[in-house]
Amino acid sequence: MGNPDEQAQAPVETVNKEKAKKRGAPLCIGLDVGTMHLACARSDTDEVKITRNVFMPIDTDDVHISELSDISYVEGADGEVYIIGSDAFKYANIFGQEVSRPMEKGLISSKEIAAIDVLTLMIKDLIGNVKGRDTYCCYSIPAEAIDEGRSVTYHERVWGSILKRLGINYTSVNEAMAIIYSECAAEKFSGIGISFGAGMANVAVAYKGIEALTFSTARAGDWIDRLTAESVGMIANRVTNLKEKYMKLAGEVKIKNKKTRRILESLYYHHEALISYTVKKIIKEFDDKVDIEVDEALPIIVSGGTSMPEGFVELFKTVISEYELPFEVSEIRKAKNPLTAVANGLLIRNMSDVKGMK
Amino acid sequence: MISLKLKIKEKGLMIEIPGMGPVRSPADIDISNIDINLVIAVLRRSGINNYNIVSVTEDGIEKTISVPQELKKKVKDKYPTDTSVDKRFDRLESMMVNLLNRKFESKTHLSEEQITNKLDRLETLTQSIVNGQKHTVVHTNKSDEPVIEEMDTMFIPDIDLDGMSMKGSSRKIIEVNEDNLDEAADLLSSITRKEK
Repeated sequence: MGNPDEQAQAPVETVNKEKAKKRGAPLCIGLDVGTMHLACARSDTDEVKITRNVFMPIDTDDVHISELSDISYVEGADGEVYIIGSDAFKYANIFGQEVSRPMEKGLISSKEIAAIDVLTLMIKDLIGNVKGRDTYCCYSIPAEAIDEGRSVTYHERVWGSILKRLGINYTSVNEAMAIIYSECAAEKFSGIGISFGAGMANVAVAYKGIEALTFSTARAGDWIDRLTAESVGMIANRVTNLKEKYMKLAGEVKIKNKKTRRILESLYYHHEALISYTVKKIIKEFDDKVDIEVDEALPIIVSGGTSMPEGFVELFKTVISEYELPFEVSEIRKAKNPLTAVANGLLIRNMSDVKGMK
Repeated sequence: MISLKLKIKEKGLMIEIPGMGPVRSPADIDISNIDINLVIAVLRRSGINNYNIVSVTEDGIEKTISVPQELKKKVKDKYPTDTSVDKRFDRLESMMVNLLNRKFESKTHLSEEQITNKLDRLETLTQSIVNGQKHTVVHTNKSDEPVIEEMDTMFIPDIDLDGMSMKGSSRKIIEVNEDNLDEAADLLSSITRKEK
């Protein structure tokens, strides 16, 4: 269902010929920096690449390096070994451990400062070869959270320094605005983009490509997993794994195992609570901060990894219908691919900016 | 017993005092067991001037300890200075922090006395540089624009990839873009230009 590792196995044509011709032109990159996933879209290929933004330090006394032949890992200067990406997630689930997360609630984690070097290598691998190319990258940043006092500045600067280290020109763009760029070309980039990620829910209201309101809340997928894990007494990794494998927010869930059913039930309640909380905040922020009169109905685009389960948009529609909104809604739809919409939107914005530089 | 607290109200600064984990401001940090000179040196190196050190009695009565401004202040780049003096000053500052660090962590072959003697000599040297340094203030044209205080980048950790290597690749290709992103980028350019 929503598991990017399964999606990754889909057959893929490699490089679009039209784009290959443009290899001499400046290389534009859209880099979605998410709490759970990192996604990268490049202007010279049709592929979007993705990896899990997690790693797991392993004790080399327990596991010999030769046993890691099929595993992606980073080896440090002092012999320390970190399994990275999806492999780390799989290993952690097998051994019942929590993975290390370089990011927490949408921002660089203060607990994992040492991870920045590991993250730099993961990004280098994700972006691919840029040697000898004039390269520009738009990377995503969240808006300041309205329900938590953490600053975005440090996060933004660290990502800037990672890209600088890789020799790439960079600029930061709001994550939810990237959804508008990716999904609302037909509406001339007017709409409301909501990114339900792992660490944060980001919201942007845009009118003709111009940002009217952006904000974020610190409740999203991790919040659901944490509360569900607490309610059923298991580690959050396992809940995330079950959510990605079996979660359906509409239709019948055909799971016989009673404990799994209980977990899915708890997940459903917390999805509903998350949507309700976000909708209330959208109404309040719009009432408090938007001065412009929007005389046309706006589409709402729902995106992000947390919106992947089947039935999420239907549940969103049901919840939002219970509220009186301060704006008219033309339609509520899911992004074409909730995991790659931000990376694509950032690439569009980057290409637009680079064209403007000529 | 009196304890000491470091209070930093400004948001988003990263403070790494040896012997403690990294802390992000705003923060109240208990520094009772840490050399106050080390704390001040670390703050100065990080370009953090806006802080208070407070003594707290057992009854919870707080009293702000005044830290001399010359100790707090980091020479701003806005004032052109003799760069060679600046470099020497920075180097000495690094050496002092390293020595204080070693003293705190006791991971050195140098004795406490040797470290203290070295620190004393460095302090004397630093003082002589500070006294001898002259600043020329350059008055720039006044502007209506608000003055933006550049954030010191020193608290952003250096990225050190020396000796690190990656095996395999964690990246997965998950889709082929079907949309014409070029067209979307052109449309975005034309719309945002019009709106401006």
